[in-house]
Amino acid sequence: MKEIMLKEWREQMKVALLGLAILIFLLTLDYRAYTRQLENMNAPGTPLMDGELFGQAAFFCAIFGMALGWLQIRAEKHRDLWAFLVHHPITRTAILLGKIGAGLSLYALGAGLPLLGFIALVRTPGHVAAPFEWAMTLPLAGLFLLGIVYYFAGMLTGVRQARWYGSRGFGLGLAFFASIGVAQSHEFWQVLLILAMTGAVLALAVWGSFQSGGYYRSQSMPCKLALTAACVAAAVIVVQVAIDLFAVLAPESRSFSYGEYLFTKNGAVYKVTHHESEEPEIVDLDGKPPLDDKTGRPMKLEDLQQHLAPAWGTSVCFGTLGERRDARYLNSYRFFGLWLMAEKTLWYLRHDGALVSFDSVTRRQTGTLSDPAISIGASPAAAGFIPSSDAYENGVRVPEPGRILASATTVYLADLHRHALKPIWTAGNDDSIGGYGSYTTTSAEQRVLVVTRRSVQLLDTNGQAEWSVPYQPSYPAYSRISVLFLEPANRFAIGFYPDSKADKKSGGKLLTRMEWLTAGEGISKSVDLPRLPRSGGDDFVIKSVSLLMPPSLMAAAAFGEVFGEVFWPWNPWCLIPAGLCAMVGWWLGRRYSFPAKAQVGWLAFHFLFGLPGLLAFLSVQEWPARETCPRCQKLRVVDREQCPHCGADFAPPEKNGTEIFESLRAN
Amino acid sequence: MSEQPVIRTRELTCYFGRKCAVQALNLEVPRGCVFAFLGRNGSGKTTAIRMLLGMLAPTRGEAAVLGCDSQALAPETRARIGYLTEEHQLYGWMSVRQAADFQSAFYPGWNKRIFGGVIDHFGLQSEARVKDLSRGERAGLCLALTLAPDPELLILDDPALSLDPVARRSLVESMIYLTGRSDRTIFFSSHNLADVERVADFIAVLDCGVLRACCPLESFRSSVQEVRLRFSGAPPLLPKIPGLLQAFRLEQELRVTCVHYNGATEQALRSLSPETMEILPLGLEDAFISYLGKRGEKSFILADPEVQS
Repeated sequence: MKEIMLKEWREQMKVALLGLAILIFLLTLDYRAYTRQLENMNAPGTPLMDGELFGQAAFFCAIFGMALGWLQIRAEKHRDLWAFLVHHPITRTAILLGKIGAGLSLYALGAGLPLLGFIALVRTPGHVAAPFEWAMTLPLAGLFLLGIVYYFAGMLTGVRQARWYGSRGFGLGLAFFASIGVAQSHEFWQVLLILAMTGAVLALAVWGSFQSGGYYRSQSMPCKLALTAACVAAAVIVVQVAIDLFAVLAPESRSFSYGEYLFTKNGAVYKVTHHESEEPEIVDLDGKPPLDDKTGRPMKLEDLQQHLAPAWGTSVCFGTLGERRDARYLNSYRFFGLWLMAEKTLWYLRHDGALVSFDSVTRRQTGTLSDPAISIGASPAAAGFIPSSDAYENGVRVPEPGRILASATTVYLADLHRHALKPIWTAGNDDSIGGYGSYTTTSAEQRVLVVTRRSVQLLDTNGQAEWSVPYQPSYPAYSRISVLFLEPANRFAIGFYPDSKADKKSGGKLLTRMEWLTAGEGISKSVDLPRLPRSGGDDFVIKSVSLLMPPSLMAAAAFGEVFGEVFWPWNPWCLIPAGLCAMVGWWLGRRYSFPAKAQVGWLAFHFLFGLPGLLAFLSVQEWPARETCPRCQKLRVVDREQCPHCGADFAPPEKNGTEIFESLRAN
Repeated sequence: MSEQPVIRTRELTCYFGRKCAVQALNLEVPRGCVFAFLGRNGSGKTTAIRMLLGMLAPTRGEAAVLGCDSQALAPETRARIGYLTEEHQLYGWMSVRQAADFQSAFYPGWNKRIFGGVIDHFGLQSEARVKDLSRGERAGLCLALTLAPDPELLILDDPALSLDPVARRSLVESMIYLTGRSDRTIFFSSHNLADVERVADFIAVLDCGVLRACCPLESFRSSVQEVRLRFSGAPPLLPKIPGLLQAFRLEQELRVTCVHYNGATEQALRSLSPETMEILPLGLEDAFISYLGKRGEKSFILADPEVQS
């Protein structure tokens, strides 16, 4: 095996070095882009968690891994060279292990080494003006491991015998699914699980195909299953792409509509329904279109947008600090959020509740800001500063990132020059803060929205409440609060938005509550807004074509949320095309005299996987020739010793009278 | 002499799609012989060899080499089999020395003397790269790599293909050297019948995937005979002649090649009333060409109206 590894290293080293050079180049570009961002103080985070880096690393690892795996097989694609290799007196498993050992070590050289170097650079103080944690390297680790899945996919593509044009690439389908899994997963353990499963299936398929010289028929059952699974994944993608193409080519099938509510400064609410290729429809809650004061004609969307009220809000969470930063493993918000950029200093709010500052010139940490009363890094919910809201604006004004900070019980005004905190508001004894955010009004006055378990209040920077209303409807069913600044200046509207999970759980019965109030006078009006029309997904053509997707995956999408956004929703009518595919599969099985066990297995397979299953079935099977049986005159497959219809043996080749056979006696 | 054949096939059959490349091949190769596996291009020789070595799964039937199922040849069994492929493919980046180092690592019984001897015979430099070698030199290197493990069974797939006469002679001499050891068996396919004639004990002939002959070399040569019949005028039409392979019609002459020439054949030919009838000596090459050529009565290729047009 050592000799095989040495040979592979020698053959593929140039590919690895090329990959190494390309990735170093890409990482250098990323680091330079970060440096420019930092110099311009353009909201820099850490280059380790940069979306562009993830995209580049994902593409690189996938293509590099795939190319390496494919080239290792391709090197011996010539029939005689393959024979020279496999005739060596070691098992094919040992040969394959030698190849994989060398391939993965070269992959580690080409992809792993630059990534490690990049991490070391970011980790070393003085290079990146942002907090560092080892968990931040997990996304890159995931992408590195994804390349290994593509490595096996590339190998499978090279080693298996593909029968029709294009089906050779079927080995890549499962790796593509792994990519989606890596991008969609919330936790890193889910990534590891997905990569381990897809990698194991592909490795098994590679092993089986390598043993059999790429043929399906002579493989063991587990290897056949693995190869079929890989091909099903690819067939699902093929069908999905076909459906998408169909949707593009049938313009009427793409008609969609979606709605939104817009709020004007005078406190009016308008429902805007957007249609494909049509002017949006705008009506108030009574169904009447808004009229332009000057012309008296119905207002267009552009006109209405001139009158929108500034809106700003906060999401609400009363969990631990970790729960409050509920972000996916590849989102930097999970670890820290940029709190403030002031002069040459960057302030980050870390996930452990600490506020840390970095000098953008020296790129080193310059200090922390904390109240001795709060315990940074401790586990209780009250420990540390909680992240401020995902401040959002409604197309009018960007809220200013605050000098306001809050723990779970207290709101502080931060004096950044003196590194001091001044408590301005404290929640009651049995109350706690679930969300907050600061906002600068048009008259340059700063306001603080604070949401506790009991109430929602707007404070000034001295902690005086401009107004306070009960948090009703309450948390956790309603987990997002927004405030609209109306005219005149003491009028407001408050929106209570349902939590998406709670809404789904209730069957979509939770409605958005809007309340109008005047400071000092209390709530004047309260309305539950009707549900908006759902965007897309209600088109007959798309729904019809989606029936071609595998019933098993559609059921999985219906009963599990993991694939909910990837596949089509469950539709019982999908069993009809699946049944048709099962009939075709059954007919082919009978035609080629499949054993009864295989017939039943494939029947179940076709019911579960529908059209993609049938495509996979057609792509893996090697259809034997059929000849007429001289005894029963029926067509029989040539790969059986006896006729499956009448049990007759094959007749010996016809003699032509020129045969010369004699007993052979060695000298 | 062991009774166990080194190669045994039973109804070995291989289809590529609808084409039957090898049909019901039943073959037994005795130990200690040189066995020539003959046939035209596309007759199924390479396919059969690939099945013997487990490179290709048969559509049906089975094969055993050195007593082991060819589809599950253990590494120990493979170590006893030397295999030389027809195109002499090796890793182009390797030097002759590196190729030897690579190969010798797999064979504990690697014989440096044999390797060196063959390399010297072909005049190869140890630092020469494989990609820079001529076809003949590459064949020599492949042969050296195949012979150096001192295999019990040597399977050569058309080893002399496109080699020049000198390289081919060197290769044959190497084979003769190996056959000097009676416990070694050589199974080789070839189109070069002069080489076959020099070294082969037995031959098997495949015709369109079907085994038509399997016998000692001499038996084959003696079984195929050419008879010249002279007539005073144009030769008459041929009746049905048992074992007829080919018949060439000349102006006053008829040349008939047939297999298993016997009394019945002679009687059928005499019924044509030739003036003279004589049996001509036939070399292996002529016998083989007649045996595998187009059956029945034919004229020279340029006399073919289709060719003329």
